[in-house]
Amino acid sequence: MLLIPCPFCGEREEDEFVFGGDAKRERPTDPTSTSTEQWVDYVYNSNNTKGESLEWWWHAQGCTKWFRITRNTVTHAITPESDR
Amino acid sequence: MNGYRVNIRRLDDVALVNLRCSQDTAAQLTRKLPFELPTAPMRASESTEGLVARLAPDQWWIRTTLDREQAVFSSLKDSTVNEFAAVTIISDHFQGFEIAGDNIDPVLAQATSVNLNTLNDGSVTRGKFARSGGTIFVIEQSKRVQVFVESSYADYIEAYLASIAGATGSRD
Amino acid sequence: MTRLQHGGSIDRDQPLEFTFNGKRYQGYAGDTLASALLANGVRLIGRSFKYHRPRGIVTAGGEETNALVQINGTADDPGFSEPNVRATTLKLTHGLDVSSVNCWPNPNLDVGAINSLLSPLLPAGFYYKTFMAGPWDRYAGAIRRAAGLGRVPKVPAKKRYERRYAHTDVLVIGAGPAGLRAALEAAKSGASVMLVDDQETPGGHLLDVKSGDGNHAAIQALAADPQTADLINYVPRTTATGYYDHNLVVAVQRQPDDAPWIYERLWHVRAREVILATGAVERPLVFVNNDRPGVMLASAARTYVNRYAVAPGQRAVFFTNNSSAYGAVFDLADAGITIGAVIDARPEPEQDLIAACRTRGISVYPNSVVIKATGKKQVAHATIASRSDLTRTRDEACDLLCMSGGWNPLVHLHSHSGAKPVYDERIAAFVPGESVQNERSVGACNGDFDFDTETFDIDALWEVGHNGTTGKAFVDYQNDVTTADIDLALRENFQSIEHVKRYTTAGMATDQGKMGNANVIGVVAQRLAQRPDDIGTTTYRPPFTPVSFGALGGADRGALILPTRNTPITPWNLEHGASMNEAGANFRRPFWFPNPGESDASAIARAAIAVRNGAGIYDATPLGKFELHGPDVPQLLNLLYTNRFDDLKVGHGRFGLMLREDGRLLDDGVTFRMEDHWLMTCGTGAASGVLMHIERLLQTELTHLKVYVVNVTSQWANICVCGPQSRAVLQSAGVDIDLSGDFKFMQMKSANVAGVAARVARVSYTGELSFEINARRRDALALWEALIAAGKPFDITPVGSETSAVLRIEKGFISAGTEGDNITNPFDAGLGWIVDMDKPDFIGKRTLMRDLEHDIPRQHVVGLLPEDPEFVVAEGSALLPREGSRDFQGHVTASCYSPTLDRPIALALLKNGKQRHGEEIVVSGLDRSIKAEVTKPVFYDPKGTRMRS
Repeated sequence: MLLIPCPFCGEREEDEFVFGGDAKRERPTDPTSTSTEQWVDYVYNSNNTKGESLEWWWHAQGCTKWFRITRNTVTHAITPESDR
Repeated sequence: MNGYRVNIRRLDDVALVNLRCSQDTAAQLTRKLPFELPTAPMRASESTEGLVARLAPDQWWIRTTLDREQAVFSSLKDSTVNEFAAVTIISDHFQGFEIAGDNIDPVLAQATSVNLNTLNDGSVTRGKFARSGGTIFVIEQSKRVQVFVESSYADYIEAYLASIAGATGSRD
Repeated sequence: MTRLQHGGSIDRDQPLEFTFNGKRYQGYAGDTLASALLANGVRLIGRSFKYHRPRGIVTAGGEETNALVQINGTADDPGFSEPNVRATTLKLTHGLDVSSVNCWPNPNLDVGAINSLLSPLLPAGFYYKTFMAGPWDRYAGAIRRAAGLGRVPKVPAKKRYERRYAHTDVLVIGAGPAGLRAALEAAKSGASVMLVDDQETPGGHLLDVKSGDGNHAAIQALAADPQTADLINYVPRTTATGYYDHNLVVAVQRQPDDAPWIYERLWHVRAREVILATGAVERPLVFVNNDRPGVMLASAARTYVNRYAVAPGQRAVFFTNNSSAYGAVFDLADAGITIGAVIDARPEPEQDLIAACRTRGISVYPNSVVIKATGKKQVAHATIASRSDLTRTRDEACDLLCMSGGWNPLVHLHSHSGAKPVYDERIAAFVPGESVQNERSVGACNGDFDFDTETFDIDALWEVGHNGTTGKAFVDYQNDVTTADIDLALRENFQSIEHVKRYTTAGMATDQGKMGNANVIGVVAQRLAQRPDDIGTTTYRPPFTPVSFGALGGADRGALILPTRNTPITPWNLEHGASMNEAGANFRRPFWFPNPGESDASAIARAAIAVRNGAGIYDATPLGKFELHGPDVPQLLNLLYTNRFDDLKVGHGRFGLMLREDGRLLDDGVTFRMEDHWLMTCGTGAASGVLMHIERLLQTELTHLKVYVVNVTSQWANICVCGPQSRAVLQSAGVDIDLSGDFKFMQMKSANVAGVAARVARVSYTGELSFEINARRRDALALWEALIAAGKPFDITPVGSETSAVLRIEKGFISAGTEGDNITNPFDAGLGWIVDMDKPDFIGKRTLMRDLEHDIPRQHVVGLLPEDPEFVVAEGSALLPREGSRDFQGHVTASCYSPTLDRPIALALLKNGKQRHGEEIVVSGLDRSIKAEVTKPVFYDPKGTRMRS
């Protein structure tokens, strides 16, 4: 159970949140003009970094805001976005 | 003697109006409205209507009584007619409970994992509560809080609170 | 008499009666079960796991591995049953009823002892090489009965449990001298401090030394100081069982004084800093028959004498490889126990210790070892030899053999936190390594041993070499693991310590290797000619000691086990005998409304017929409802749905389909355009997912869009009156708008219904004429009752979920979660009519473009007409070209008996289904296969004229 720092509400238990995955993924601005390879890569592939990972979290049981943190996937050390 | 000595009751005369707008819009509205929209995060301020709470960067609750519900709703709607804002009555979507006693912390500390040390007088926050979520208003730290939960969960939460308060007969 | 006349911290004025294996005994308040049994001369406590060897009490603390008992009842709860309880930590209470485990009929006369004779067939890992002839079921029953130690309770406990969250600046684990000092220091610096300890009173190992010791008194004084008491939240009888991410420590408190109705409290503590003061436990020496009753740790013997005033034996032999055992030697001698010999493996024990022994008439034999203990159910003598010549032995009679192989700092919690212990040669033990989280270790658990202020000296002795003496030398008592098992594992090339652990099961019992792991590592190191640091430790994992499921469950049990959700109509459902069940999103809903004596099937069919021919009433409140505000809502809706919404008129609704980015069905629902906002509805189970989906788009991708979403799911109740007579029912209830002509299908109008302000929408999930009335939750029950009353002349029938399922299957209305899976796209589901590929973009469009390009066979939604009119096929049944084929071509997604057609029907996904209408297919379920005709996926009113009437 991680302790996640919500930028609005402060530190809360992980079960108040929903994990949103790799924050480096961005939806192509014009999907219809992407190639099949680009599109499949966007939909199905995401980075699985060993180490510092920038990721989205949603404070579902709190302020309902989406925010980013950097989490070390090995040690779980968390760096809030504002500290970066 | 069984149980932590706390009193738990449903709040039955609470109207809630939800306001979504930007912080800038809120600052403007505060000038126009008879109450202040707090700017500090997770704070509630008193007003002639009732408590006004800031729950998120762009979300406020205005509490009042049921007979004032339409009036507050309409006046907020009128004030925001040219703004990008959302005004919604949510009095029925939530059910309020009050937990009071000489020391309610033993019960609160079971119901929620939110750090009770941060819940001082006048604070309001939303977090995990009794297996669901709750918006907690701290009237007096460790002595009186009011919690709003989604009304579909209200019966369960009432039973859950009774159980963790140490009431007998609700074991199984 | 084994109870000493004086001393101990028991209360001789409070005798307590208890029962062990059916016999009555007496002890005192302050006793543990173990000390009370020893005081009564009971040494044989149980039989070992595999070999059924006689076992007794080895320790005086939580690391106990042999003296496990089953609680059969307590005075206040005679039926209470609990397995795997350590006799050494079980507080003696009046009326306690306990028994031995793993022996029958009793530990003295145990039928299972035959296993000892079979032991050559039962080495480590024997089960990997046996039980191979025939099916496993043949052996499973017998093995299940033989395996395990305690018995699982059959009746729910009357006990109550609690879960408590806590936040503190500093958490100190252990109230021995080091922990107390650390807690006081932290408290005086202004931090909030929580101090947990597993004993009844603070003091740690000082409770086990003779009272009057200077150090002891000073610590007691500190702990009792009223000034400091307020600064520290001291929680006794609490074991920290796990250390998790971000300084989360979970601890179990037994019988909290502040809440006497609670049996166990599970603490969930977040601390800024954790200080581990968990102490160390003594470890055994490894020699043949080191598991006999009467063979125990030297420090344990000392504790029984000093703390409980119990003599664990009358004639003791000590066997040690370090200086700490002498404290026990002196305390036992001073209590009047004869010390036959002190066998010290070290060549040069301290002169002052030898001198102190001589003063007491005790002989010390340096450079010597005990190679074997002998005795049938109890040790009778120790066989001793000099290390320079192990062949020359002599026997020393004893009924108590105290061993000390060194001390193991309890590094478990440190290890849980993610750190790795390191070997300290100086004390021949593993100590905490570099911290990974904000924690530090103090005192004995950090390798800072302070034994009676002597400097600690040790010669590592992982195993006593023997001169060919046959017999078992144990490294892990509870799982019956011997040095021979380690040899076997290494011979079979399981050489990594993680493999040795798993192959031999050493360290895997309820004691988690507290005493045994170091010896295992030492023996492996010797065999492989390496050092213990090269071997390393296995990863310690929570829990540190067993945790009951009761503690983990807390208040979440019985009627409260699931957070169920109700609607305002729920009380009416319960009053009217509805069969309630858990549906999507935790809602508890009526599945059908049986008349007295009516079968489920009949009730379901009756309500369906009522909807098709008359009037039904259905509570659709759980559907997700969201208000959308802002100028960019139409643009957002165009992106979320496959069809266009920007051209929707005020007062109208439109059915919309939402896809995921991979083109698969996410949800469907009707979205209405209101005067100054939009109202989106979605499936009950999908509601929270849809909200997350929309908020994610708005907050992380389309941050320029001006849209606010407000959840109003429980603000509005949704009562659906459906059927050809529904208009008449509403008119009868009183409605202030015209329900015919102008009020078109999919429109929504404000209205007063039976005096209640509401919004009425013509939406149909049943395929019949249907009015969904949205009223505020506070008005809903009154409205429902008014509609029931108004509907009486029309025989209005309440409809449950099972009936609405029948109605939607008859109409072929797709359910995103049922007909949609990870492969189905909207075209497969016959929803191509709602997909507007001309829109510049919508979520899922790009994937559909790819689907349309590829000419691969796809599964399509079809209808099935099974040939047997009496048999409803099971959902999930496979579709095959003929019986017995393994060519899996699809499966049944939904199936029911249709009262409208008076025959069973089903919907299914079938490979290339659109091209196969009219074909025959085999539906193969668990019980039988049956032929069915493939049809269009709609069985009733295919043009949808009835709901538009």
